[in-house]
Amino acid sequence: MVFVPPGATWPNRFFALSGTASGRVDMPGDGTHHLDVPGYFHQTQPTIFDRLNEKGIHWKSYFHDIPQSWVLRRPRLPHNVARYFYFDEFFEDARGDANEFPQFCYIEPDFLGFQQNDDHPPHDVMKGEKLVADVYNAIRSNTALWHSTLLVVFFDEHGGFYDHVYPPTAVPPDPPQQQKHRLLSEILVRLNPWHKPEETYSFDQLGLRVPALLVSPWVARGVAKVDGQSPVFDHTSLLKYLTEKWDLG
Amino acid sequence: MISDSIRPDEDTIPQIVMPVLQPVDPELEDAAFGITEHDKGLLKLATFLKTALWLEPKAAFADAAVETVPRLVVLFSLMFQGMAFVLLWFIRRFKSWAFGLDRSPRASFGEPDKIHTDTVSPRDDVAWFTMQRKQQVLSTIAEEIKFGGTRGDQAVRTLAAITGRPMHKEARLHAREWLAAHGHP
Repeated sequence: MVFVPPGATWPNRFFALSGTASGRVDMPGDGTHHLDVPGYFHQTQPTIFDRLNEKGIHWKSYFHDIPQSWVLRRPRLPHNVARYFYFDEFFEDARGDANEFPQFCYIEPDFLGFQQNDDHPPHDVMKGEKLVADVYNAIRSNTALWHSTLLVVFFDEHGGFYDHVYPPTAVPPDPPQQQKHRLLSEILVRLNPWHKPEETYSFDQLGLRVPALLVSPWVARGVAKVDGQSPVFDHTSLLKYLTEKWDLG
Repeated sequence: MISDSIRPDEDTIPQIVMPVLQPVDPELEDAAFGITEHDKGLLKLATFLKTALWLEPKAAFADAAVETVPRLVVLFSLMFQGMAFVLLWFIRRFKSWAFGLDRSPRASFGEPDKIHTDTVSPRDDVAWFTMQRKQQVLSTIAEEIKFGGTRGDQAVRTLAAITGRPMHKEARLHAREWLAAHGHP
Protein backbone atom coordinates (compact mmCIF):
# COMPACT_ATOMS: atom_id res chain seq x y z
CA MET A 1 0.00 0.00 0.00
CA VAL A 2 1.20 3.50 -0.74
CA PHE A 3 -0.02 6.82 0.58
CA VAL A 4 -1.03 9.29 -2.08
CA PRO A 5 -0.97 13.07 -1.94
CA PRO A 6 -4.38 14.42 -0.92
CA GLY A 7 -5.47 15.62 -4.33
CA ALA A 8 -7.13 14.70 -7.58
CA THR A 9 -5.82 12.60 -10.46
CA TRP A 10 -3.45 15.15 -11.91
CA PRO A 11 -1.52 16.14 -8.77
CA ASN A 12 -0.98 12.47 -7.95
CA ARG A 13 0.42 11.80 -11.39
CA PHE A 14 2.63 14.89 -11.16
CA PHE A 15 4.12 13.51 -7.96
CA ALA A 16 4.73 10.11 -9.52
CA LEU A 17 6.66 11.65 -12.42
CA SER A 18 8.38 14.65 -10.88
CA GLY A 19 8.09 14.42 -7.09
CA THR A 20 5.93 17.53 -6.86
CA ALA A 21 2.70 19.04 -8.13
CA SER A 22 4.01 22.59 -7.85
CA GLY A 23 1.40 23.23 -5.22
CA ARG A 24 -1.58 22.50 -7.48
CA VAL A 25 -4.37 20.41 -6.02
CA ASP A 26 -7.10 20.37 -8.63
CA MET A 27 -7.68 20.08 -12.37
CA PRO A 28 -8.90 22.67 -14.86
CA GLY A 29 -11.99 20.64 -15.68
CA ASP A 30 -14.41 22.73 -13.68
CA GLY A 31 -14.09 25.61 -16.10
CA THR A 32 -13.12 28.22 -13.56
CA HIS A 33 -9.48 28.09 -14.64
CA HIS A 34 -10.09 27.99 -18.36
CA LEU A 35 -7.78 30.92 -19.04
CA ASP A 36 -5.19 29.80 -16.57
CA VAL A 37 -3.27 27.75 -19.12
CA PRO A 38 0.21 28.59 -17.80
CA GLY A 39 -0.80 27.37 -14.38
CA TYR A 40 -1.57 23.87 -15.55
CA PHE A 41 0.30 23.27 -18.77
CA HIS A 42 3.54 25.11 -18.01
CA GLN A 43 4.83 23.27 -14.98
CA THR A 44 8.51 23.29 -15.72
CA GLN A 45 9.91 21.00 -13.03
CA PRO A 46 12.30 18.25 -14.18
CA THR A 47 10.74 14.83 -14.53
CA ILE A 48 12.02 11.29 -14.30
CA PHE A 49 12.33 11.32 -18.10
CA ASP A 50 14.85 14.17 -17.96
CA ARG A 51 16.91 12.39 -15.33
CA LEU A 52 16.94 9.22 -17.43
CA ASN A 53 18.12 11.21 -20.43
CA GLU A 54 20.98 12.68 -18.44
CA LYS A 55 22.21 9.21 -17.52
CA GLY A 56 21.65 7.74 -20.97
CA ILE A 57 18.96 5.33 -19.80
CA HIS A 58 16.85 3.98 -22.68
CA TRP A 59 13.19 4.70 -21.95
CA LYS A 60 9.88 4.71 -23.75
CA SER A 61 6.39 5.79 -22.87
CA TYR A 62 3.42 3.95 -24.34
CA PHE A 63 0.04 5.64 -24.52
CA HIS A 64 -3.43 4.95 -25.88
CA ASP A 65 -5.32 8.11 -26.74
CA ILE A 66 -3.71 11.01 -24.91
CA PRO A 67 -0.64 11.06 -22.64
CA GLN A 68 -1.67 12.76 -19.43
CA SER A 69 2.03 13.31 -18.67
CA TRP A 70 2.05 15.98 -21.40
CA VAL A 71 0.32 18.28 -18.95
CA LEU A 72 3.86 18.77 -17.63
CA ARG A 73 5.94 20.87 -19.96
CA ARG A 74 9.23 18.99 -20.18
CA PRO A 75 7.69 15.73 -21.45
CA ARG A 76 6.23 17.81 -24.31
CA LEU A 77 9.67 18.88 -25.52
CA PRO A 78 10.61 17.26 -28.84
CA HIS A 79 13.34 14.95 -27.58
CA ASN A 80 10.96 13.52 -24.97
CA VAL A 81 7.95 13.31 -27.28
CA ALA A 82 10.20 11.29 -29.61
CA ARG A 83 10.09 8.51 -27.02
CA TYR A 84 6.29 8.37 -26.81
CA PHE A 85 4.64 5.59 -28.79
CA TYR A 86 1.18 4.20 -29.20
CA PHE A 87 0.51 1.20 -26.97
CA ASP A 88 0.64 -1.32 -29.84
CA GLU A 89 4.39 -0.83 -29.97
CA PHE A 90 4.70 -2.17 -26.42
CA PHE A 91 3.67 -5.64 -27.58
CA GLU A 92 6.08 -5.48 -30.48
CA ASP A 93 8.93 -4.48 -28.16
CA ALA A 94 8.00 -7.17 -25.61
CA ARG A 95 8.18 -9.84 -28.30
CA GLY A 96 11.67 -8.78 -29.32
CA ASP A 97 15.13 -9.11 -27.83
CA ALA A 98 14.98 -8.50 -24.08
CA ASN A 99 18.27 -6.61 -24.27
CA GLU A 100 16.66 -4.14 -26.65
CA PHE A 101 13.60 -3.61 -24.46
CA PRO A 102 13.62 -0.14 -22.83
CA GLN A 103 15.22 -0.03 -19.40
CA PHE A 104 12.28 2.06 -18.19
CA CYS A 105 8.74 2.01 -19.59
CA TYR A 106 5.82 4.19 -18.64
CA ILE A 107 2.40 2.98 -19.75
CA GLU A 108 -0.60 5.29 -19.78
CA PRO A 109 -4.09 3.83 -20.16
CA ASP A 110 -6.91 4.85 -22.46
CA PHE A 111 -8.54 7.81 -20.78
CA LEU A 112 -11.33 8.96 -23.06
CA GLY A 113 -14.36 7.34 -24.56
CA PHE A 114 -15.76 3.86 -24.83
CA GLN A 115 -12.35 2.15 -24.83
CA GLN A 116 -11.40 3.77 -21.52
CA ASN A 117 -9.37 1.32 -19.40
CA ASP A 118 -7.96 3.61 -16.72
CA ASP A 119 -10.30 2.42 -13.96
CA HIS A 120 -11.87 5.82 -13.61
CA PRO A 121 -15.54 5.69 -12.75
CA PRO A 122 -18.10 5.37 -14.25
CA HIS A 123 -16.47 3.07 -16.82
CA ASP A 124 -16.15 -0.71 -16.56
CA VAL A 125 -13.24 -1.61 -14.26
CA MET A 126 -12.76 -4.92 -16.07
CA LYS A 127 -11.12 -3.01 -18.90
CA GLY A 128 -8.44 -1.80 -16.52
CA GLU A 129 -7.95 -5.36 -15.27
CA LYS A 130 -7.54 -6.51 -18.85
CA LEU A 131 -4.91 -3.86 -19.51
CA VAL A 132 -2.84 -5.12 -16.56
CA ALA A 133 -3.33 -8.72 -17.71
CA ASP A 134 -2.26 -7.87 -21.26
CA VAL A 135 0.90 -6.17 -20.03
CA TYR A 136 1.71 -9.07 -17.68
CA ASN A 137 1.09 -11.67 -20.38
CA ALA A 138 3.30 -9.83 -22.87
CA ILE A 139 6.21 -9.67 -20.42
CA ARG A 140 5.66 -13.17 -19.06
CA SER A 141 5.68 -14.67 -22.56
CA ASN A 142 9.26 -13.55 -23.11
CA THR A 143 11.34 -15.51 -20.57
CA ALA A 144 14.44 -13.36 -20.83
CA LEU A 145 12.36 -10.21 -20.43
CA TRP A 146 10.36 -11.70 -17.55
CA HIS A 147 13.54 -12.55 -15.67
CA SER A 148 14.80 -8.97 -15.92
CA THR A 149 11.62 -6.95 -15.36
CA LEU A 150 9.88 -5.35 -12.42
CA LEU A 151 6.28 -4.46 -13.31
CA VAL A 152 4.89 -1.74 -11.05
CA VAL A 153 1.16 -1.04 -11.07
CA PHE A 154 0.25 2.27 -9.47
CA PHE A 155 -3.17 3.77 -8.82
CA ASP A 156 -3.11 7.53 -8.86
CA GLU A 157 -5.78 8.07 -6.25
CA HIS A 158 -8.15 6.38 -3.88
CA GLY A 159 -11.71 5.32 -4.61
CA GLY A 160 -13.23 6.22 -1.26
CA PHE A 161 -12.78 8.21 1.91
CA TYR A 162 -12.01 5.53 4.46
CA ASP A 163 -8.69 4.21 5.72
CA HIS A 164 -8.10 2.88 9.22
CA VAL A 165 -4.50 4.14 9.07
CA TYR A 166 -4.17 7.87 9.69
CA PRO A 167 -2.07 9.46 6.93
CA PRO A 168 1.32 10.64 8.17
CA THR A 169 2.80 14.05 7.59
CA ALA A 170 5.14 14.68 4.69
CA VAL A 171 8.02 16.96 3.83
CA PRO A 172 6.69 19.73 1.54
CA PRO A 173 8.37 19.30 -1.84
CA ASP A 174 8.42 22.99 -2.74
CA PRO A 175 8.96 26.36 -1.11
CA PRO A 176 5.73 28.30 -0.52
CA GLN A 177 4.04 29.20 -3.80
CA GLN A 178 3.96 32.80 -4.86
CA GLN A 179 1.22 33.74 -7.22
CA LYS A 180 2.68 35.12 -10.42
CA HIS A 181 1.04 37.55 -12.78
CA ARG A 182 -1.12 38.87 -9.96
CA LEU A 183 -2.17 41.92 -11.94
CA LEU A 184 -3.50 39.85 -14.84
CA SER A 185 -5.24 37.52 -12.41
CA GLU A 186 -7.08 40.42 -10.86
CA ILE A 187 -8.09 41.69 -14.30
CA LEU A 188 -9.41 38.23 -15.16
CA VAL A 189 -11.37 38.13 -11.93
CA ARG A 190 -12.96 41.48 -12.76
CA LEU A 191 -13.77 40.46 -16.33
CA ASN A 192 -14.93 36.96 -15.53
CA PRO A 193 -17.12 36.56 -12.45
CA TRP A 194 -16.66 32.76 -12.59
CA HIS A 195 -12.88 32.95 -12.49
CA LYS A 196 -11.38 32.15 -9.13
CA PRO A 197 -7.75 32.27 -7.99
CA GLU A 198 -5.88 29.01 -8.30
CA GLU A 199 -5.99 26.90 -5.18
CA THR A 200 -2.61 25.77 -3.88
CA TYR A 201 -1.40 23.45 -1.14
CA SER A 202 1.95 22.79 0.46
CA PHE A 203 1.48 18.98 0.48
CA ASP A 204 2.82 18.65 4.02
CA GLN A 205 0.29 15.88 4.68
CA LEU A 206 -0.15 12.58 2.86
CA GLY A 207 -3.60 11.28 1.98
CA LEU A 208 -5.30 7.90 1.98
CA ARG A 209 -3.61 4.73 0.82
CA VAL A 210 -4.01 2.98 -2.52
CA PRO A 211 -2.83 -0.46 -3.61
CA ALA A 212 0.45 -0.85 -5.47
CA LEU A 213 1.58 -4.06 -7.15
CA LEU A 214 5.19 -5.14 -7.63
CA VAL A 215 5.31 -8.03 -10.08
CA SER A 216 8.55 -9.87 -10.74
CA PRO A 217 10.04 -13.34 -10.25
CA TRP A 218 12.59 -11.63 -8.00
CA VAL A 219 10.06 -10.09 -5.60
CA ALA A 220 9.18 -12.03 -2.46
CA ARG A 221 5.52 -12.90 -2.18
CA GLY A 222 3.22 -11.01 0.14
CA VAL A 223 3.12 -7.52 1.54
CA ALA A 224 6.24 -5.48 0.86
CA LYS A 225 8.32 -5.05 4.00
CA VAL A 226 11.80 -3.84 4.80
CA ASP A 227 13.52 -5.51 7.76
CA GLY A 228 10.16 -6.92 8.85
CA GLN A 229 8.56 -3.49 8.99
CA SER A 230 6.01 -1.89 6.68
CA PRO A 231 7.60 1.40 5.70
CA VAL A 232 5.68 4.45 4.52
CA PHE A 233 5.56 4.39 0.75
CA ASP A 234 4.14 7.11 -1.46
CA HIS A 235 4.16 7.92 -5.15
CA THR A 236 7.70 9.22 -4.98
CA SER A 237 9.02 5.92 -3.61
CA LEU A 238 9.45 4.66 -7.16
CA LEU A 239 11.43 7.79 -8.05
CA LYS A 240 13.69 7.13 -5.07
CA TYR A 241 14.19 3.52 -6.13
CA LEU A 242 15.09 4.56 -9.66
CA THR A 243 17.38 7.29 -8.38
CA GLU A 244 19.30 4.79 -6.27
CA LYS A 245 19.32 2.13 -8.99
CA TRP A 246 20.75 4.36 -11.72
CA ASP A 247 22.35 7.10 -9.62
CA LEU A 248 20.06 9.69 -11.14
CA GLY A 249 21.05 12.31 -8.59
CA MET B 1 11.00 -6.94 -0.38
CA ILE B 2 13.44 -8.32 -2.93
CA SER B 3 13.71 -12.09 -2.74
CA ASP B 4 16.92 -13.52 -1.29
CA SER B 5 16.88 -16.29 -3.87
CA ILE B 6 19.63 -16.42 -6.45
CA ARG B 7 17.17 -17.86 -8.97
CA PRO B 8 13.97 -16.31 -10.28
CA ASP B 9 10.73 -17.72 -8.95
CA GLU B 10 9.50 -20.18 -11.59
CA ASP B 11 6.20 -20.80 -9.83
CA THR B 12 4.39 -17.88 -11.38
CA ILE B 13 1.23 -17.71 -13.46
CA PRO B 14 2.25 -18.31 -17.08
CA GLN B 15 -0.70 -16.35 -18.48
CA ILE B 16 -3.60 -14.44 -16.96
CA VAL B 17 -6.69 -15.73 -18.71
CA MET B 18 -9.57 -13.30 -18.71
CA PRO B 19 -13.00 -14.92 -18.68
CA VAL B 20 -15.69 -13.68 -20.99
CA LEU B 21 -16.42 -10.23 -19.72
CA GLN B 22 -19.85 -9.25 -18.65
CA PRO B 23 -21.20 -7.15 -21.52
CA VAL B 24 -21.31 -3.49 -20.59
CA ASP B 25 -23.89 -0.98 -21.64
CA PRO B 26 -22.23 0.87 -24.54
CA GLU B 27 -24.82 3.61 -24.50
CA LEU B 28 -24.16 4.42 -20.85
CA GLU B 29 -20.39 4.37 -21.38
CA ASP B 30 -20.67 6.66 -24.37
CA ALA B 31 -22.86 8.99 -22.37
CA ALA B 32 -20.20 9.09 -19.65
CA PHE B 33 -17.64 10.65 -21.98
CA GLY B 34 -16.43 14.02 -20.80
CA ILE B 35 -18.42 14.20 -17.58
CA THR B 36 -15.57 13.89 -15.08
CA GLU B 37 -13.15 16.66 -14.17
CA HIS B 38 -10.33 14.39 -15.33
CA ASP B 39 -11.91 14.01 -18.78
CA LYS B 40 -12.59 17.72 -19.08
CA GLY B 41 -9.02 18.53 -18.13
CA LEU B 42 -7.65 16.12 -20.74
CA LEU B 43 -9.86 17.65 -23.42
CA LYS B 44 -8.39 21.03 -22.53
CA LEU B 45 -4.90 19.54 -22.78
CA ALA B 46 -5.67 18.17 -26.26
CA THR B 47 -6.82 21.61 -27.34
CA PHE B 48 -3.76 23.22 -25.81
CA LEU B 49 -1.39 20.90 -27.70
CA LYS B 50 -2.26 22.70 -30.93
CA THR B 51 -1.10 25.91 -29.32
CA ALA B 52 1.97 24.30 -27.80
CA LEU B 53 3.22 23.24 -31.22
CA TRP B 54 4.11 26.76 -32.26
CA LEU B 55 4.13 28.45 -28.86
CA GLU B 56 6.79 26.24 -27.34
CA PRO B 57 10.25 26.33 -28.89
CA LYS B 58 11.85 23.50 -30.76
CA ALA B 59 15.14 23.90 -28.86
CA ALA B 60 14.66 20.65 -27.07
CA PHE B 61 17.55 20.53 -24.66
CA ALA B 62 17.93 24.20 -23.86
CA ASP B 63 16.77 25.18 -20.39
CA ALA B 64 15.50 28.41 -21.87
CA ALA B 65 12.96 26.33 -23.70
CA VAL B 66 10.93 25.80 -20.58
CA GLU B 67 10.57 29.36 -19.42
CA THR B 68 7.03 30.40 -18.71
CA VAL B 69 5.23 31.89 -21.65
CA PRO B 70 3.43 35.17 -20.90
CA ARG B 71 -0.26 34.63 -20.34
CA LEU B 72 -1.28 37.23 -22.86
CA VAL B 73 0.50 35.27 -25.59
CA VAL B 74 -1.41 32.19 -24.55
CA LEU B 75 -4.64 34.17 -24.49
CA PHE B 76 -4.07 35.44 -28.04
CA SER B 77 -3.22 31.95 -29.23
CA LEU B 78 -6.44 30.61 -27.75
CA MET B 79 -8.39 33.37 -29.49
CA PHE B 80 -6.66 32.48 -32.76
CA GLN B 81 -7.60 28.85 -32.22
CA GLY B 82 -11.18 29.84 -31.60
CA MET B 83 -11.35 31.71 -34.89
CA ALA B 84 -9.76 28.76 -36.68
CA PHE B 85 -12.32 26.43 -35.11
CA VAL B 86 -15.22 28.57 -36.35
CA LEU B 87 -13.73 28.72 -39.84
CA LEU B 88 -13.25 24.94 -39.94
CA TRP B 89 -16.81 24.45 -38.72
CA PHE B 90 -18.14 26.46 -41.64
CA ILE B 91 -15.92 24.56 -44.08
CA ARG B 92 -17.21 21.24 -42.75
CA ARG B 93 -20.81 22.42 -43.02
CA PHE B 94 -20.16 23.52 -46.59
CA LYS B 95 -18.58 20.16 -47.49
CA SER B 96 -21.52 18.41 -45.90
CA TRP B 97 -23.96 20.48 -47.94
CA ALA B 98 -21.96 20.32 -51.16
CA PHE B 99 -20.86 16.69 -51.15
CA GLY B 100 -23.43 15.09 -48.90
CA LEU B 101 -20.83 13.87 -46.41
CA ASP B 102 -21.99 12.83 -42.98
CA ARG B 103 -20.55 15.09 -40.30
CA SER B 104 -20.82 12.47 -37.57
CA PRO B 105 -19.63 9.93 -36.70
CA ARG B 106 -16.11 10.50 -37.97
CA ALA B 107 -12.90 8.49 -38.09
CA SER B 108 -9.96 9.68 -36.09
CA PHE B 109 -6.67 10.66 -37.67
CA GLY B 110 -4.95 8.67 -34.92
CA GLU B 111 -7.16 5.62 -35.52
CA PRO B 112 -8.34 5.85 -39.12
CA ASP B 113 -9.49 2.24 -39.06
CA LYS B 114 -12.21 2.98 -36.48
CA ILE B 115 -15.24 5.22 -36.22
CA HIS B 116 -15.52 7.40 -33.16
CA THR B 117 -17.90 10.11 -32.19
CA ASP B 118 -16.89 12.38 -29.37
CA THR B 119 -13.26 11.34 -29.00
CA VAL B 120 -12.23 12.19 -32.57
CA SER B 121 -10.95 15.69 -31.89
CA PRO B 122 -8.65 14.94 -28.94
CA ARG B 123 -7.22 11.86 -30.68
CA ASP B 124 -6.55 13.90 -33.79
CA ASP B 125 -4.93 16.69 -31.80
CA VAL B 126 -2.61 14.23 -30.05
CA ALA B 127 -1.74 12.46 -33.31
CA TRP B 128 -0.97 15.76 -35.02
CA PHE B 129 1.15 17.01 -32.12
CA THR B 130 3.09 13.74 -31.99
CA MET B 131 3.79 13.77 -35.72
CA GLN B 132 4.98 17.36 -35.75
CA ARG B 133 7.15 16.98 -32.68
CA LYS B 134 8.86 13.86 -34.04
CA GLN B 135 9.76 15.76 -37.20
CA GLN B 136 11.05 18.69 -35.17
CA VAL B 137 13.37 16.53 -33.10
CA LEU B 138 15.59 15.50 -36.02
CA SER B 139 17.50 18.79 -36.02
CA THR B 140 18.05 18.44 -32.27
CA ILE B 141 19.29 14.88 -32.66
CA ALA B 142 21.73 16.00 -35.34
CA GLU B 143 23.19 18.54 -32.90
CA GLU B 144 23.26 16.17 -29.95
CA ILE B 145 25.09 13.43 -31.81
CA LYS B 146 28.00 15.79 -32.33
CA PHE B 147 28.50 16.02 -28.55
CA GLY B 148 29.30 12.33 -28.26
CA GLY B 149 29.32 10.56 -24.91
CA THR B 150 26.04 9.96 -23.09
CA ARG B 151 24.22 12.79 -24.91
CA GLY B 152 25.26 11.42 -28.26
CA ASP B 153 24.32 7.86 -27.32
CA GLN B 154 20.91 8.96 -26.10
CA ALA B 155 20.33 10.92 -29.30
CA VAL B 156 21.22 7.90 -31.45
CA ARG B 157 18.91 5.75 -29.35
CA THR B 158 16.10 8.25 -29.86
CA LEU B 159 16.74 8.24 -33.60
CA ALA B 160 16.67 4.44 -33.62
CA ALA B 161 13.34 4.47 -31.76
CA ILE B 162 11.57 6.89 -34.09
CA THR B 163 12.94 5.40 -37.30
CA GLY B 164 12.68 1.74 -36.35
CA ARG B 165 16.25 1.26 -37.59
CA PRO B 166 18.81 -0.23 -35.14
CA MET B 167 21.22 2.67 -35.51
CA HIS B 168 22.43 2.33 -31.92
CA LYS B 169 24.04 -0.98 -32.89
CA GLU B 170 25.92 0.54 -35.79
CA ALA B 171 28.73 3.01 -36.06
CA ARG B 172 27.59 6.52 -35.15
CA LEU B 173 28.62 7.60 -38.62
CA HIS B 174 25.62 5.76 -40.07
CA ALA B 175 23.21 7.82 -37.97
CA ARG B 176 24.91 11.04 -39.05
CA GLU B 177 24.79 9.96 -42.67
CA TRP B 178 21.10 9.15 -42.38
CA LEU B 179 20.39 12.54 -40.83
CA ALA B 180 22.44 14.31 -43.49
CA ALA B 181 20.58 12.46 -46.21
CA HIS B 182 17.33 13.75 -44.71
CA GLY B 183 18.39 17.36 -44.52
CA HIS B 184 20.03 17.52 -41.08
CA PRO B 185 23.81 17.53 -41.55
